[in-house]
Amino acid sequence: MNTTLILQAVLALFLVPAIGALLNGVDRILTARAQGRRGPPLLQPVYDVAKLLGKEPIVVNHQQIVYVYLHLGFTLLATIMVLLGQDMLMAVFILAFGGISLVLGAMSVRSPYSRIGGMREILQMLAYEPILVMLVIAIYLIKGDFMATNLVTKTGQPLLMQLPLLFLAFWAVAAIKLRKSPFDISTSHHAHQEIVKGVTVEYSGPYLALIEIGHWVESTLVCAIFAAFWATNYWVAVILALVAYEGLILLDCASARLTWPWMLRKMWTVGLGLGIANLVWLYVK
Amino acid sequence: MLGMLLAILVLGPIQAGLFAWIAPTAPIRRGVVFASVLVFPLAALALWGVRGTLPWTFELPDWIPTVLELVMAAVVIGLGRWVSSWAVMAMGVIQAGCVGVAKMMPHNVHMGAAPTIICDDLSLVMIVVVTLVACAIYLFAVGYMDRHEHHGPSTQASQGQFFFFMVGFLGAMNGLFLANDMRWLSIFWEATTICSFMLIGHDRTAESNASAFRALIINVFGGTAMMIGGVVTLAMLKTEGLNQLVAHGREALVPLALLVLAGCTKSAQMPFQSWLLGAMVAPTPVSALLHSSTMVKAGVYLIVRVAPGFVDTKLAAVVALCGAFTFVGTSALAVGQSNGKKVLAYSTIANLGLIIACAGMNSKLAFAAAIMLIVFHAIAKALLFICMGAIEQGIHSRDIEDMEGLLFKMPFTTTLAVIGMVSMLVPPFGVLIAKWMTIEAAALQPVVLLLLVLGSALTVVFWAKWIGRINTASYHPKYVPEGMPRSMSVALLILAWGTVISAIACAPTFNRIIIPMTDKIWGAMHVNEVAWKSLGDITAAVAWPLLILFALVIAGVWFTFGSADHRMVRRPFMCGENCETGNLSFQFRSIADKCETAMLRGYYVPATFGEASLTSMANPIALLLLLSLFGVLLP
Amino acid sequence: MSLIGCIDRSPWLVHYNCNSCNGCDIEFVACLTPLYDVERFGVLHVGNPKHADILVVTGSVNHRNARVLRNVYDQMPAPKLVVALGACGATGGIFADCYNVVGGVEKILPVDVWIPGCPPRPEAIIDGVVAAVTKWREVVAAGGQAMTDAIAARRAAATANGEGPGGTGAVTSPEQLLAREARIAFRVGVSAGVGGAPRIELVRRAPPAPPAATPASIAPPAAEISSLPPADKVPAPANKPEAK
Repeated sequence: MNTTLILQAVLALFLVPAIGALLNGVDRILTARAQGRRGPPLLQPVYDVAKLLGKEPIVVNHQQIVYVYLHLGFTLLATIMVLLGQDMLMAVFILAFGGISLVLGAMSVRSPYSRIGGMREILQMLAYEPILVMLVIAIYLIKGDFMATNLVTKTGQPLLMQLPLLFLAFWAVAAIKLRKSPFDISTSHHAHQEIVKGVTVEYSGPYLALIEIGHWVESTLVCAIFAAFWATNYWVAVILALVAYEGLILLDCASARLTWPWMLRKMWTVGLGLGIANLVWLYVK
Repeated sequence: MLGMLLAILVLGPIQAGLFAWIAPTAPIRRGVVFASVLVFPLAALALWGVRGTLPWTFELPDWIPTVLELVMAAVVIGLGRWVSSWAVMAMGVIQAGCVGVAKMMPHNVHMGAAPTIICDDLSLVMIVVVTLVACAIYLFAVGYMDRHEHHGPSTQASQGQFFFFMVGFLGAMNGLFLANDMRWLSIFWEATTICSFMLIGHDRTAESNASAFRALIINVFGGTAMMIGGVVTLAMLKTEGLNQLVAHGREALVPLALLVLAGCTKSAQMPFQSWLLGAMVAPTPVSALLHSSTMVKAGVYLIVRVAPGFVDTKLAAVVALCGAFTFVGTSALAVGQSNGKKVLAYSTIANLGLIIACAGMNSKLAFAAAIMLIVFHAIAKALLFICMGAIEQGIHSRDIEDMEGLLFKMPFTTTLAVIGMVSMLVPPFGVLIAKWMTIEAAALQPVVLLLLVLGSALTVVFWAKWIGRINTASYHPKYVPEGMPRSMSVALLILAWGTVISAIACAPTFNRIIIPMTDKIWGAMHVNEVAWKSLGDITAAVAWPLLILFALVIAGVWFTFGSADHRMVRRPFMCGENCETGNLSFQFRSIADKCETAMLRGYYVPATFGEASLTSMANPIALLLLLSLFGVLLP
Repeated sequence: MSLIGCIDRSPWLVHYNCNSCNGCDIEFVACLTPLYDVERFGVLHVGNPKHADILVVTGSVNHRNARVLRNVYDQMPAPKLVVALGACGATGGIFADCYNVVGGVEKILPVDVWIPGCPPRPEAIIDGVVAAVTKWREVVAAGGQAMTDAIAARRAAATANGEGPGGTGAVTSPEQLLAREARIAFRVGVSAGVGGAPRIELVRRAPPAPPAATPASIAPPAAEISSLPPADKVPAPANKPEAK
């Protein structure tokens, strides 16, 4: 491991949550404008996390704390791996374990809302994991390599031209990952729902702040992958990422939460179908 | 010297088993088992130490296997008589017939060297892993069986007989890995079947007898297929050597298919998985030894051994499909199971399917992944099964839903069980690294890839559910490790350390042992080169951060629990209706201010993932795939 | 800007209806709508006390949900504030004499801000939340020890059995609030009607002494009070037999 890599990793450790915080700020402002409101200041997520970090730490049991750190650690590691050009499939598995850590934290507490949220989160992961792996395989088929450095090559056709269907499928995956309606089934970012806050209901104060930072990191990862679909031109990539993200926000505003059987069915038929069609196209070429 | 070591590893366990059987008192029997636990691992490690001179070949007199084969066939017929099954008796007769037919054919006309015993890298790795894991399980079994005898059914067989078959089984396994002559292979194969039959039926209840019978009939079917394969090899290639069959595999695909079939039955692939599920009624050491880490590995070992023989043929494609389909099917079945041992059984079958899929993928990377999976999965599954045994004796239930609060009731076992389960899911543990390599290797084979991807998503579901349930506990200021017989706790610790050390040693193992092995076996063959890379390059970027992360987590856990402050603790949110007077934090006040306990079961979705519905859908497809194993051989 | 001070940039509310007629709740929820949009102040309405900083209570609290309210308050992490919304939350409102009514949130929890009105308008509610946050800012500005003392005092207040002292560290005094309440509050009375059958009527309280100068931050706009008809214009109860 060379020092450049280590330095880049340390830099990413600070930049990734920062970018995620800004993305979430934009998210909240755009949501508000779409609803005819003004919305909070851009740095509101930072204020939220700062306030949460200053609250008294309370827990229901002590295992919860361990799982929060595991969740943040693994999600951060997976994102940094992708951004620094490491093996993408391994990053997907590490991200999956980050998600499982959150589930385990939710299920370790004897709270009915938390448990139901945990079970729903497992099913959400079941819905989107296959498509993520298929995306990685598709990139392999085009570039011949599993390393994420291929995502930022400036030569060749942009990925969007060759993977349009997988882009759509990944867009749905992003909706699930970022907890946007209609997929905000295990926990959501707006108000409370039928299982109160689901996965995060028994977390508070500093630990909730860490989960929030984890959400920032996921936002950054999702937008980075959106941007990678047009890596050949930097500005188009940024616009693509922002347009896709805005699309997710509009989807969130426009739809109501649906049920997990619906989500599982749709992702495993429509989502997988799109992915398989795209892969078949690549194999045949 | 080498011969003596090999003899110790093959004949020694059988001898030790006999001593255990005829031991007049329990302490003597325990002493024999402890002696085995000391001697055999040392012998295996000594063997490992001299591996620079691999491969080793030996010849044995020709009449011995013939006699032993006939003895085995007679035993099979006898067993068939005992369980009153004409099918088993008939297959025993067919086996005897095969011996006769083989005798009449011209043989010993070697196409090349076909020694009786060959020990190469693959055999050595298998011998070492199986011996070490088996001895840890023997240690566990001593403590477990004492308790089992106390609480078990009155009809159960004696502990002496139990240990004879358990310890003797190790000899059969080691012999299996060493055999190159297909007759010796069949002998040891049938020996393992017989051991399995006797051990599953140990409790001698109606349920165990039925399960033992199912195991017998399916495995004898596999053994018969193997013997027929041996005869066909003799007919086509005029040799009985496995190495020759592999070298000239393209011309002799039929016996290869028969051997694959035999491997599938032994490894309980779909549609044969019912015998393994039924075998879960046996005492837990049996499940741990035979039905997760060793005997079922014999089946995949055979398929992996002969894989270079059918590289780049249609047979390979079908083998990969069979394995991948089993992986998906059994992973889905595990999602709908709430019996812990059955979940472990389905997970075992799934991983075996994954290994078989690797064997059929025409890829060096997949082959290496298969070997890694065999090694790491054996250790992890053995650990999980014996944890399951300890849990079962602790809470007298096998149902996952009853394992709530286990972290407080049995903290030692629960922690080790969580280590075992996490090792199936997380890098840098070997099972996940192998799965990663497998999916990368499958990138060029679309159908297999799709099945693998779906299957690995499903495995996450049932492991997460189980780990979540087992880790649920309210706040407690102090955790007290549960009492357990010393032999059981030591065995648990040995396997847990084995899992952790093998994770740390994953990359070096791969680079220094498995890569050279694969290069030797696949050598100059034209194979699908998919990302054949040194694990060291990749995991260097990943493994060290992960290990540091885990070390930080362990330190964090220590600190968190050490500074546990009851003032930080609040009750869970139940809309404010928490029961202040109840002593359980998850009670709430309901109608008439009564304190009710909030309970929640996991999601099992029986309509989709239930055993009955899914098995009836998946078994016919699996059967079709197996038949097409032979179908693709039709000209 | 200390971390704990950030509460004024991001006050998260949890809202509990303790025996309210829902009028105050509807006005509260109206604050979240685009017309009033409290999210521009960083205010979020969260669903469980573990995520919240400010507990907004409507309703007069009855003996059954006093326990629940205490439970919910205990599950909030410090620093936390309590806002009593509406006339019922302050004194029990028009239901103060009912047998099941405890009579105001301050009897159960240490209240920081009372928002009078029946129901208070969303502007008043927003004012009240801002007042709570301002109060917190002052406590933080006074220094860490003052805040520790404040937290300790509140904990002591909350663990006191049943009767909270009320007014501990409060910005306003209950007397001032009562004085204002008295001009607009009625109480339910039972008097003898025609033929001896009991009759339920609204009875005005006795007018109080004029209030002292009230801090502007909690004073609702004057328009609020004048929106109700002055006392002498209330139609006298007609002398007709009432249905029981």
